[in-house]
Amino acid sequence: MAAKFMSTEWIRQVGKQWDNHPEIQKDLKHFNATWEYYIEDRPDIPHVMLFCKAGKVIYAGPSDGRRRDFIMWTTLDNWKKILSGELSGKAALMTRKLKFKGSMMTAMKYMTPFNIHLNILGEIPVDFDI
Amino acid sequence: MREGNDPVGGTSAEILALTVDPNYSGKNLPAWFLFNTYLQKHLGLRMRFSPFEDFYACRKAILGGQYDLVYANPFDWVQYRDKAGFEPLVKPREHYDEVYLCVREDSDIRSLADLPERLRIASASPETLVHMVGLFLLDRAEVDRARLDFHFTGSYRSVLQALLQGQAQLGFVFNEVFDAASSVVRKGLRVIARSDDAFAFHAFCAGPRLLPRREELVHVLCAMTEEEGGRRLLADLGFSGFAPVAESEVECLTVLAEEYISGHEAIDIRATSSVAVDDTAFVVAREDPPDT
Repeated sequence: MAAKFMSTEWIRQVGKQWDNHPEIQKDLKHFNATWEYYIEDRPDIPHVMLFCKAGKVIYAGPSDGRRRDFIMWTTLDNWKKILSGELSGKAALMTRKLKFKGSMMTAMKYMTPFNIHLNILGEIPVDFDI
Repeated sequence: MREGNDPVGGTSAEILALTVDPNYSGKNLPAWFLFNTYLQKHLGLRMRFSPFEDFYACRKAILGGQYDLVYANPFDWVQYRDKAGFEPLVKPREHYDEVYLCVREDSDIRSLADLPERLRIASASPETLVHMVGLFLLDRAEVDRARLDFHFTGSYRSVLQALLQGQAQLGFVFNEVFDAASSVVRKGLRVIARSDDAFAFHAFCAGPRLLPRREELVHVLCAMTEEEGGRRLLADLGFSGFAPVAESEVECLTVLAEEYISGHEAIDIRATSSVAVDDTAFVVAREDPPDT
């Protein structure tokens, strides 16, 4: 059964996908950061986060209060567009459809692997009935 | 020419001024003079075009209010917007600023893995996106910045000269300059890495005296593809056409430039994480040192 979008189960699958993607692992092997995702127009849905150390996700789950290096959020409709491939991760960031808080320089430096990460999120079976 | 008072903030006798990023003080300069003539005709105003040889003189003149229309590189247009009331209006269509890491063709350096322990790099200016992206390319290849010495040449084109004359082992070369260089120059160089970010762009920026006519200016530039003369001129300049700059793009590049210029490269993870991190783990925040 597909995981509910932005659920703990879903973000854990995202973490596994990150760890198993060769290009992400190659480009981000020295990358360390915490980042959070949430749905702008669904305040009832808890935020989720990933913590990556030396390229590997060491935490994937509910946002637990630790400080985040990056926060990304948009409406459920735009998330659907990103996951369906209708909107690329980079285009979403550039057009501010995917809102972003954090170091833009770091985002730019790692744009290629991060774009891959956003673009393959849709490969994880997901249930948007939330 | 327009007669009587015009909306450019003065009379028809007022002469506006156009300049371009110093990158263009090279072989396509005649096309920029023709471009200036094209704009004068289509906007019905008087405007002189004068190019610069180096970034520093160009920035000083623009920030000093001597120009009304500027084709500027990303970090410069952010600065002109912030400090001199310019607005980026139009950008080249499907045309982004990318960076090539180049060495001389006869160099022993064939890839990033061959870089010597100390590396002398030619770069136009530290305050350009080209320089920043060049550093990013080296960062991604785990080249410690402590190994780098810089020779700042003042213009993109002179980076090519510095490389060919052996003044540097590696150059941060603006893609547009490399692609527009003569075949002799290109054959004398080897590209060992390149960015593919499709993120930043040069833009035409209008200053305070020209901004009241921004809509007309955007229309004239974006409609150049619709007539034979405009298309010919675009081809001479090396562009396929122009498109309006979106406000979201301005926001993104402004944040990026401000972070870079202010030296804010990244966040110290110790301040942003509840997990204990060894002090030695980071050279530049967010990055472990490569294995030695």
